[in-house]
Amino acid sequence: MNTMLEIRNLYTSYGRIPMLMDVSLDIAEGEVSCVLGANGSGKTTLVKAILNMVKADQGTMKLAGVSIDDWPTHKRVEEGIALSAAAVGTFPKMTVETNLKMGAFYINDAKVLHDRLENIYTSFPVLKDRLQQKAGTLSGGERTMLAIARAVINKPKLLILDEPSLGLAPIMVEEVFEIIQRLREEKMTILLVEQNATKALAVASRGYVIQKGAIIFSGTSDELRKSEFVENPVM
Amino acid sequence: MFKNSKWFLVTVVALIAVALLFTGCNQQTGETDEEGGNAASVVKIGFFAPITGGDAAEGTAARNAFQMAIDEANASGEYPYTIELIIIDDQGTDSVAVAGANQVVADPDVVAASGFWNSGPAAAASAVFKEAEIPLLIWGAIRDDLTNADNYPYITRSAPTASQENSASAAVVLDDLGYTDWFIVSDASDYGQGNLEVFTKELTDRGLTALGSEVVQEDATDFSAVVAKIKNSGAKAVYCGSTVEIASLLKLQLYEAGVTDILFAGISGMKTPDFLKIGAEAAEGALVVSPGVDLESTDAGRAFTEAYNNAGYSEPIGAYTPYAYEAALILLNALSACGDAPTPEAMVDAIINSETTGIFGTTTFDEIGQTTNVATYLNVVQDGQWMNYVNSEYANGTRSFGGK
Amino acid sequence: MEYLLDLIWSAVLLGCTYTLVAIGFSLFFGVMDVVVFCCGDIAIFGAFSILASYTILNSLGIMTAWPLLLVILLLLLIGIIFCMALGLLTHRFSIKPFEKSSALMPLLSTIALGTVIREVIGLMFMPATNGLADVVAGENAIHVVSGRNPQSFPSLLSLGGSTDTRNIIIVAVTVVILLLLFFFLNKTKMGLSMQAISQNKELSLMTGINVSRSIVITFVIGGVVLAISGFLLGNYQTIMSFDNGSMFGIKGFSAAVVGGLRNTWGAILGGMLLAFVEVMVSGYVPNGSAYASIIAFVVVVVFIIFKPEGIIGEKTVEKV
Repeated sequence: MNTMLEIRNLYTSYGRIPMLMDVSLDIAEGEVSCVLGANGSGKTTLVKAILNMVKADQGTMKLAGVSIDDWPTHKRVEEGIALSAAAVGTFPKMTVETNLKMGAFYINDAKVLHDRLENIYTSFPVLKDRLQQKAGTLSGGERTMLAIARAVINKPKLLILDEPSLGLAPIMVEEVFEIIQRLREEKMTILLVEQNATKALAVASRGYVIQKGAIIFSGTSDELRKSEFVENPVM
Repeated sequence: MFKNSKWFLVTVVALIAVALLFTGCNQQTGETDEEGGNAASVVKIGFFAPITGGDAAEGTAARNAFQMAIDEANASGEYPYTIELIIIDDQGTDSVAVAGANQVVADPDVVAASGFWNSGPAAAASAVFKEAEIPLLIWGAIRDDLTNADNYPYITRSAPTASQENSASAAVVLDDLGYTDWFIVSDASDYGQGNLEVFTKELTDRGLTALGSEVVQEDATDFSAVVAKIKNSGAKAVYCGSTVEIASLLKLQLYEAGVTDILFAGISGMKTPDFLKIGAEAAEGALVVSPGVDLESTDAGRAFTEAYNNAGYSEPIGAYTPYAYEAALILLNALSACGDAPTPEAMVDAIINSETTGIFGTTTFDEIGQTTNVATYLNVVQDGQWMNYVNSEYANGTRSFGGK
Repeated sequence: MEYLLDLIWSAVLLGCTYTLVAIGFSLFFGVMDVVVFCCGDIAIFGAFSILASYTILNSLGIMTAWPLLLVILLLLLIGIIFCMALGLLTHRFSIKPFEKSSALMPLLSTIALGTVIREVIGLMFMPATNGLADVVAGENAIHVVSGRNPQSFPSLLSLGGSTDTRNIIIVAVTVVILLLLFFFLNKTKMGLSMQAISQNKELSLMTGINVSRSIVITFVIGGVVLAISGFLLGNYQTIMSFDNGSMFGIKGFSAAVVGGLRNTWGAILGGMLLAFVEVMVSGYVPNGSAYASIIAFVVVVVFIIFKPEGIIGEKTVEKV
């Protein structure tokens, strides 16, 4: 099994406050891995560090074996790391269609773009009905769908989903995880960052538990399910 | 970045207001005592003029003339000390003038000051000089009440007042030329307000009322609405009681709007070469009153022009440039009367009692410190040049002002 | 009726000059969340660089030798280059150093920069222009007298015709610039990324937009718009003063605020509204000119308090 993303000894800080300490991860190609952690445990910082939206103080990262440490954010996106974070929102004054096209920023071929969009419409029928609507008027669930679709349209090497279930009604949560399930079947490499451990472990094959900026446990989904961390109400 | 954009914007607007106040406050210090030396060997005089900004042409030329007179005095060896100038660029702004005045009165070597082309700054700074009991001789600001019994003997003026200037102009445009349908434009400065008041009084004295009047902001550049108003009022003559920047733009915009069959009369503040930059056709026929006498018509005037040009100044002589020169002569004359160690007290007396013969004749001061030597003459733009009205084709009837 | 039409036409022209500066403000604010307060001064700097080039070209006799249109384009190009360079310098020295600090810092530093630009024009315009004219034209050099005095701007846009021709050209050029800008912002990737950054900076980064490059490009585009606005203003006003930029900038900023700062189309409406308020107050209120600017600012304050999102701004900006 090839490693898609390899993180070694990553440290970041916000001012003088350390945010991540000695984080090492391996995300295997074609698998769903998950990072579990409570609010404020450093999950989002980790995600942003992968895209270089938060600068690393120390540590190295490799994407499919290539060092990406010197790559700015846009280069990492261009080279195939896609981040979907519903919490970051949309481009509210643009239509849903333009939002999707902004997601496909690096696709220059009109034909490819057209095909990708068609694929998205099939996978996310709810968006198809809203194409000409301003993204700012979407409901929470629709926004999450748009966030995922926007990231998926690039067919990324690594798809990072940051708390896709956050703030959604249970029925929407189901729908979101169905989509993740489908992407997994398509062999997309996914890093799922979640608070909802049960749901995440249901789709992931490996997982990491992060607490106060450090990885405190890692293992397969089965190992994780049995561990104290998942049952621990702190989660 | 700002969650509450409303308060952000309110802060921004408040900051702009503060910033505008401060950006107006930079001042330029000319000669300072870099040589250091023996304090008794130096006597300082403060000089104020708008050296930057829209009135820079008048202000810079006045500074040149004043400097020229002082340089001549220092070179003559008549004074047992070196006379130094503290040049303050008042930018035509009250607050800058006051800051400069405070700086000048704080210097122990200062015995007198001269200055001001703008009435507002002159009035504001007068208070400082009166308080410090240091004499101030005004050479270019013309609002009537700058010299008054209250300010006497500290504040004196060697130039004619707005009333004196305007009555000369009124005598020509109202009596000789007989215009009756007037529209008055002035600016919101003290100078503009003074002119508005005085010219309105001239009209009232003759039983006339203006068809309309507008007060424009000092930094305004677009007068299209005023032009439309003038056009609509049916006025046959426009009186512009403002300085060159506003007057030239107003004249230009009247011309561009096709309002040419009209007399454009004004006041000394617009008689600078900058007025002609709007082009010969647009400027044609502007009639203004100037203080003093036509420099070209007297020997003293021609001598002054020659000396000024020989001194190598690039700024052309303006209406008040000779007055600045005369003010320097008056102060120098007073210094001579004060012996080897002049003091502000001695200078106050020496100035009010002085009798100085300069370019425009002999200047003495009356009981409120106003010059008794009043002379004015009219200028008109003909073919892109300012010229003495009496020599122009307008005076001999070859051309007419329009509106008749 | 003719009076009203006169006033409307005046307001439209004035509005055109405000609009382009307002767009400068809203472009910069949209992409960077900062008020670049020296927009007016950049535009006036452009006008003065055009004026200087004109003086030099005139010394060389090019003004008469070349077709007028070619000369206008050449001058405009020079103005654009100067404004773009100044825009980039503004970014480098007045905004970028304060990237991490409060938005008030770049505001203050650009206010200060505005003063610097004005003083540089006042001090350098004459020596630089005359020096260059001497070098290129030798004895035929035409000289500028004093940089701080009002300067007369060549009335190139009347194309030798009347001021009506000029005024129509000013409006037409403004409309064309607005259309091009509309096309750029909505139909090109670069323009869309600028809008994206203005709507959601974090998401733009995640989308792979090169934000720092977009900011640089914004200054380039802003420079072009400001140069053209300076050129139009110079033609409209005929007389320019080195310190015109501060008032021009404040009017542009006010128009942008009324329009909703981020909103380019609001800037047009804001510019027009401000111009109409000023002209109508001057035109219909007896002695109204003295209050025109003040009433215009009252309109701005009313907008800030009651409709801070601007004249056509939408309140529903979602943020979680």
